[in-house]
Amino acid sequence: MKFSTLRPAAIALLLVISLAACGGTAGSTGSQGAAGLAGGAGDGAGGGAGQCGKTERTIAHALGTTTVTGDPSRVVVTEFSFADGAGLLGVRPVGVADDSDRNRIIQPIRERLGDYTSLGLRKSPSLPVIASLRPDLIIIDAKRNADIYPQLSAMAPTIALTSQEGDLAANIAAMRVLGQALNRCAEMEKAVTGLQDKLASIKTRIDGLPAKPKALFAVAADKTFSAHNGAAFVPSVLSAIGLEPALPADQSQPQADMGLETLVATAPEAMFIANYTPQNPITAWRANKLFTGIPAVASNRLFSVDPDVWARNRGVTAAEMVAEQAADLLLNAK
Amino acid sequence: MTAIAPSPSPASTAASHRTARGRWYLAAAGLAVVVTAYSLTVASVPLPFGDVVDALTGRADDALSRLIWDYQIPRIILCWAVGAGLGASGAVLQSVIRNPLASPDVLGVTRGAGVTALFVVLILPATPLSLLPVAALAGGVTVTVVVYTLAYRGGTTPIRLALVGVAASACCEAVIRFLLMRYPQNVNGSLIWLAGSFFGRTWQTVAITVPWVVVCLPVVVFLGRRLDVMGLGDPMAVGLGERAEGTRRLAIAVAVVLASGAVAAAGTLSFVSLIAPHIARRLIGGRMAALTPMAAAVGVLLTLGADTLGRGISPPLEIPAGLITAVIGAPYFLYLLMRTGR
Repeated sequence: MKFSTLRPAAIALLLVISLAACGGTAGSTGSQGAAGLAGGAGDGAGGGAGQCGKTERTIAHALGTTTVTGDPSRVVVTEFSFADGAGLLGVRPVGVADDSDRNRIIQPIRERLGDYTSLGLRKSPSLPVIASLRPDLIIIDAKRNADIYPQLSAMAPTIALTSQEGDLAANIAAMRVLGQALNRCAEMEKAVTGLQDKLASIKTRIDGLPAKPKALFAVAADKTFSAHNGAAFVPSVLSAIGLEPALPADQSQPQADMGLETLVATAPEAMFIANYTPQNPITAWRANKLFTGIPAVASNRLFSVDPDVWARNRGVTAAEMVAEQAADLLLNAK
Repeated sequence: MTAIAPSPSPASTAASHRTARGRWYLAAAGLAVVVTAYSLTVASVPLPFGDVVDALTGRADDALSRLIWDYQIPRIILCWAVGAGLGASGAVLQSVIRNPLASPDVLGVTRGAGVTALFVVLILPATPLSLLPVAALAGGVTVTVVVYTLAYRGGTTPIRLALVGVAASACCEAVIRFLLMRYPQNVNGSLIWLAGSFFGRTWQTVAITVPWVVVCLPVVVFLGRRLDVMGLGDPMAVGLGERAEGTRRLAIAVAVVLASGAVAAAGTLSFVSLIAPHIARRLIGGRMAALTPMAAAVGVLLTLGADTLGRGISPPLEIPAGLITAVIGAPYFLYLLMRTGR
């Protein structure tokens, strides 16, 4: 390369470096809207129970610590499970991100919520609407909404909890933190104990089965078939009622796309499929002999379940409904 | 000599063209101002223009001020920067490659920038935000260098650049799809980002990406005359004293920087860089010195219009701007294809 062409290149390089330096500090890519994809680490649930009862509570959550004062009454949430949690404590959120569709919230939760203002998509809730609601507490998903955490923190105390990326234990821990934030720890403990009792009683029903099937939960939509392993919400609920998950827990990837061959190799004895769309890979697979040879299909234990209950809502109420529906389906299939 | 009507002298033709161009510039500037003012009032909550003025002049209450200054204004500034950057980038590349269907998308710049940006965000989330444009730029530059090197045989020709670029673009697309598959829990965010969206952008994004555009746009405008000479063909250009290869490299470099900056700010926004230069050319003619600012202006109008529509169509839903530009762009692209095919 001639020297004369090196010069502009060198100037360009200098320009690049100085522009990058101009960009300033603060904010990692994980917490800004430019890409808005990465999320925080696990839930900071430890050691916060002592916070309840205090007027100024320091809440440790997935994206840091936030001070919440008093009893928040204008709560904004961006996940169905948080709406569930708040509803169980008798607090009605003023704003819920419901993907612009009230019916996505399962009925028991919807009834407790009453009227609220829709924020739009859970992934991109409308910031102007949130601002107009003048919230005193905002609860967001640690993974999905990490990109708008700084903007929301500037508006009102914001806490980031696990919903999308957590198993049953993580979701319960998130509920406990939510209870601290709303200053109603005792009520939340009651709700959690209620859930655990319910799961225990369903477990005894399942124990009545001659053989407890290895269960697989998957979400089917259009062209994807995504199987959840033991580290995801539904399999951990099924595990709590005595149904061993067909896929062992993988914390780094709680759900992954699965093809027909892998499904056959996994050989689940019961399958719960949440169909987001009527047309999905299963429709094509039904014609395949490999598919009909899967133990779950052969023994008539391929169940189609409601995606709102099993996939989207993920809270205390959803866990109870999942467990009950699973037990009903299995016991009636005999 | 037969008495025929005297043909207009070159000087007066040039003058009348300049007046016509001047009028188009004025119209574009005026329209941009009007669209910007309107866009300030479009949000998921009712925002009468009076309130906007109050906020701008400091007479509004805290919440309203924050709404305008923290959400609306940075977003609109970004639309301007991204739109101008993409429009100018497309104009330059169409001139260099001498193909009306060229754009940073075709050369693989957009996809390349998208790959590295997505990679950084998904796999290295602790990276400071100011490095995201650098990451995008690294991707865009790498892909462009690869494309350029592969297309180089004692010099590049427009057709080779375009063909190699399309192949490189396809490779990058495959990597993007792989990343999406590998990290399915981030699919929602990834898809919105890939569509191109201004959701949640703040002053931080503005500070990080606007300087790139502000520095590169004048360079592109100054390159205008040299690009016109290049447009006469390499032998003619060299004969007129133009360093063909050097100018081509500089032009591509600046176009890549503009496009990568846009990708870092708003994700992979499609079609703007393809159709803005075309619309500009129909209004103002093909001379680069005039075309580039007009292409930038049209880019601004397209991007700002798309984002405004996305915000206003069905609140509180925010439709990504990239979806709207695709809805406008795809039919226009088909129309272009049919026209060039004729």
